[in-house]
Amino acid sequence: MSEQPYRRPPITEAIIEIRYAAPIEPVHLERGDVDFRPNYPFQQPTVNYGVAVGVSASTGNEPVTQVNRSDGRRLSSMDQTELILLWPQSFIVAQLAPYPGWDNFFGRFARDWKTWKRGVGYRKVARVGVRFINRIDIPQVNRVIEEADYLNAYAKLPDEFGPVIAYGVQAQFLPDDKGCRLTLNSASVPSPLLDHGSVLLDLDVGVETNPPQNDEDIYTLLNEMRAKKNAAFEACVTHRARELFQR
Amino acid sequence: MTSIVVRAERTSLGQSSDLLTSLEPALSLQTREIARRIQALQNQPSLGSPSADTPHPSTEKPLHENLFDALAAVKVLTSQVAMHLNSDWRAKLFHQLDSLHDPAEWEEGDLPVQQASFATFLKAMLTINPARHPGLGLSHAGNLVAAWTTGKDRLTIEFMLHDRVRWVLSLHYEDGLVRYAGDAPVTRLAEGLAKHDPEHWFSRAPENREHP
Amino acid sequence: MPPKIANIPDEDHVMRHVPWSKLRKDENDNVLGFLPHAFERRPAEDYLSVSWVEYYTDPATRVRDAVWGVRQARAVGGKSAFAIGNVGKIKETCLSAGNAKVRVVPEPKDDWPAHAGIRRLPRDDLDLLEALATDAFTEIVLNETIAPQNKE
Repeated sequence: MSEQPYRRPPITEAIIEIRYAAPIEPVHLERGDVDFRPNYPFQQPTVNYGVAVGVSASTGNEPVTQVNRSDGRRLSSMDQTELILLWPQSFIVAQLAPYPGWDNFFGRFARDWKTWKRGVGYRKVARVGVRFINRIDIPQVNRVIEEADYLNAYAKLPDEFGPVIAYGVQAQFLPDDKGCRLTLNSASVPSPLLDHGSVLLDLDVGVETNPPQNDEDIYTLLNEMRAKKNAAFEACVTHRARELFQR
Repeated sequence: MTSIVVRAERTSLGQSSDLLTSLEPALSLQTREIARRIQALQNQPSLGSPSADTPHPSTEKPLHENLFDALAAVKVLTSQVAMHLNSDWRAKLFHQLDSLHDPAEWEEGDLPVQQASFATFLKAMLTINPARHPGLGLSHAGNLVAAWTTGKDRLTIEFMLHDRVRWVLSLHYEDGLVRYAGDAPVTRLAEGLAKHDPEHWFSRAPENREHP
Repeated sequence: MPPKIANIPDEDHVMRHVPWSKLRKDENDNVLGFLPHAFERRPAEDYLSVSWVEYYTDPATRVRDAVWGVRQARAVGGKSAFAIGNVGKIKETCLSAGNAKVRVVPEPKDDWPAHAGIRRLPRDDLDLLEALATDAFTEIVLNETIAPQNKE
């Protein structure tokens, strides 16, 4: 189903990620600048650093630091809402708000995935994932927002503690019969709107066990993941929240 | 029922893990294992958005790259509230921002639009929600300036860092010109303008509408 | 070359180059005038840089000549403009709106002999800058209306 049920969907970012079992050679990332330039005229290098520090008896209890560097490319449209990130280990298509609807977003992914595969050829897929980050902006009353009025997933705490200043909730669920695992993150965040509080609702659906390897199966799975994500979102929000998305 | 108190300070999901780190020598092996598993559940940060900081203009980069970086940053910032914006105005806003940062028109020594200023601007515009949108300019320091003009009357608002604004109005009456100026947190802007007939600036009434 | 003087006479005029970002525009980028920020002195500047219009002796062409003089000394964007104000009115405006006794003095440069400066102008007084934009600098000349100078 492709209809957009909300006038103002609270989606701040939508992501489709295909992760590889083995890294792609740097030459393909560099060629991505050329291949994607017609739709993504702005390109810049991007770097991811992972740092691990270990101490063990074998090193005489001296800390040993390992820095892992990953070089990628960030490609964007003129208005910075349509993005591609090319990493050695993953191909990511991202959409910032305003969200144009699944048909448009998925269509862009399919187009760009074809372009990418023309260059890199078949590579073993290790994970297929869909992630939607929502920010729900809630009007405050006397500097307080009642989260339970808008969300069904939040930190439930004893009333005796009084109002919270901040919270974070993380949950991961068992994979379903298609191997889709849902990860939910939710947290209060500073609101970009005056007189509002905001809550992030981050829903990630991914398959890591025997993910599909051909395009048609990947597309089918992505559509199923999107439906699962939608069901999760609807389960997490109340009717009052839906009213906010229709204003 | 859980309530959230809305405060201005930023909070971070990482605060709990910092606390655990400092307490670690006192924790049992079992507790440390639980904390490690919780940490592993955290998703990677969103990869679709660049850093939220305004890139500092680099003297090593050519001008057009510095201007592009600043524009990209505020366009990404706009996307964070795009669901609350009229799409036509969003397109016009981007056109105005592009125009202000045209390298051919750039004034040497000026700073491009600062993200913190732009964030203040977005907050103000989302609150005021004017039917008539402003013309835009930039101060030397990269603060966005919005201007409404109704006949000879003028409203100019400068959006500054730390959610502050300053404004000045020039109003022409029969007995002469009167100016009012203000400097306040953006939360007080609407209140500050309320006594000066906001519709005079923000409505789509004819340009020669007289100030009452 | 006029004799060296300490202050530019009140009956004379000065011209301020106003780049596109400091022009007052409507939502469709139509130019309406000047933002107050067009007359804001930068932190490192001792004075507000302007050009002395009457340095150019021919009344029929002095505005054009003054624009040419600015163009020779600095980059001038195609969509920029020039603000012209009477020196006496500038001084009067600064006094009434900002309680500032400014001086408008020649500050000639090798590549810009007509260069002048408005000294003692407060930097941060938005009300004063607005007054300059509305009351003192009352004439606007769009850069695109002045033809390029023929190189001889």
